[in-house]
Amino acid sequence: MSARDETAAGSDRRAKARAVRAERAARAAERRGRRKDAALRLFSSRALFLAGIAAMPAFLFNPSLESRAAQFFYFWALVVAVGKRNSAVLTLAMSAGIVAFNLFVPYGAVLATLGPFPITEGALRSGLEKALTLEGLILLSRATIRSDLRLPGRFGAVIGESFRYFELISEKKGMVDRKDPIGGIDALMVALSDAPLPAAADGPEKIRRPAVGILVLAAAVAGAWAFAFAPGLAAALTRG
Amino acid sequence: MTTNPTPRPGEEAPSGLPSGADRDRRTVALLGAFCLFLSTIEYMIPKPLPFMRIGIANLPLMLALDVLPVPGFFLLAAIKVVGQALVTGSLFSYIFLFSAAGTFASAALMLLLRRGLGRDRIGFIGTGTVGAMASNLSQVALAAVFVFGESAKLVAPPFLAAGVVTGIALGWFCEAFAERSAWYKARLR
Repeated sequence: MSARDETAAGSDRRAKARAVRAERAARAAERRGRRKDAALRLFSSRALFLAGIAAMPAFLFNPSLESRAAQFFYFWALVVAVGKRNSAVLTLAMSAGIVAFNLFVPYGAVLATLGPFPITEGALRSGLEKALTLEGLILLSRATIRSDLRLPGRFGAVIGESFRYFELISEKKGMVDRKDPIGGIDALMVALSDAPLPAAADGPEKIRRPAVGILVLAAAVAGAWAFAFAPGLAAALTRG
Repeated sequence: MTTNPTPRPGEEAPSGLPSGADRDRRTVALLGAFCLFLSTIEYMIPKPLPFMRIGIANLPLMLALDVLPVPGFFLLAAIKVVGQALVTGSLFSYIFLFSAAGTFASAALMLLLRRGLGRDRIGFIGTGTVGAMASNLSQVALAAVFVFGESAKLVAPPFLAAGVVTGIALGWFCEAFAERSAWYKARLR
């Protein structure tokens, strides 16, 4: 086989691998879209919000690092279930950063040393706890907060108007030219200020949803609390 | 002699523009929408920690310093914080707390300086830098409690230095925008 043939075969293999990856990504996006639609049909954004509030103390006030880690993975699964994306790379990078910074203040038993730098048990646990808490709350928020959530009162009305303007800006963002962003943004602001604001449409909040959605959410919240109580129950059973 | 009656809220002013209170409300909603739009752009920019943002969503808040009354200005700050949390889905996380602390600390200080000293004595670059420092200092304080512990002092210098750079950049953009914008000039208080 000549060098030219080998190069051609190599680029062919790379093109095939790219096509396979693209197909896999498209299938994953389709599955995610189906899950998102199902979640939209089953849960109102208010019910999801209330479920988030109900699950949050189970995580935040959980004293056990191990069961908090289990809750973290549980929330990860919930985010996937409602059709949103998680980034393992970002989550790991962020957690590693938080743990590393916490290790700079050593306390407790020395577990290992990296050159002159001691890795201590207390600092490691504290770092893991903080990283898990930060990331876990982000996951819970992502699973239970949807942008169609409508807030009550005057504040809710104004923020609703902002979301309607936001949709208009997203539609008309082509008015902002890269060569003259200031002129474009100004023209867009003048146009939006002069135009009448469209009335609030019947969003996903107005869809009639089956009662099973509430049951699913109640089960999801119960799951979060079960993780919080599991270590205590296990300890009681062991003592018994 | 004919008199020009003051329109009630919700009525159209003789110029064809909405009257004072209604106009302020629409300005708050519009600037709030720009905060949300810029938040979504900012959300896509990779960052080492979720609360370490460049702060481009603060641009509308800086412009609002000269165009909104004090209650409207703080209403806009609240819309920015809550709207950002809804758009990025971070309402139940510490990020919401960081965002609220940073936004309200910088909003209060920027308003105090801009209204206290006047536009002639402090420009957007000065206001933006002070605002970014206030925001970052409050976030470092919260990070010391919730995320980094004592190690926060290691994060603080680069975080504050980044705040100075972004504050100057945002201030410069606001200065250029205020210079050219017909929208801004029509609403200047």
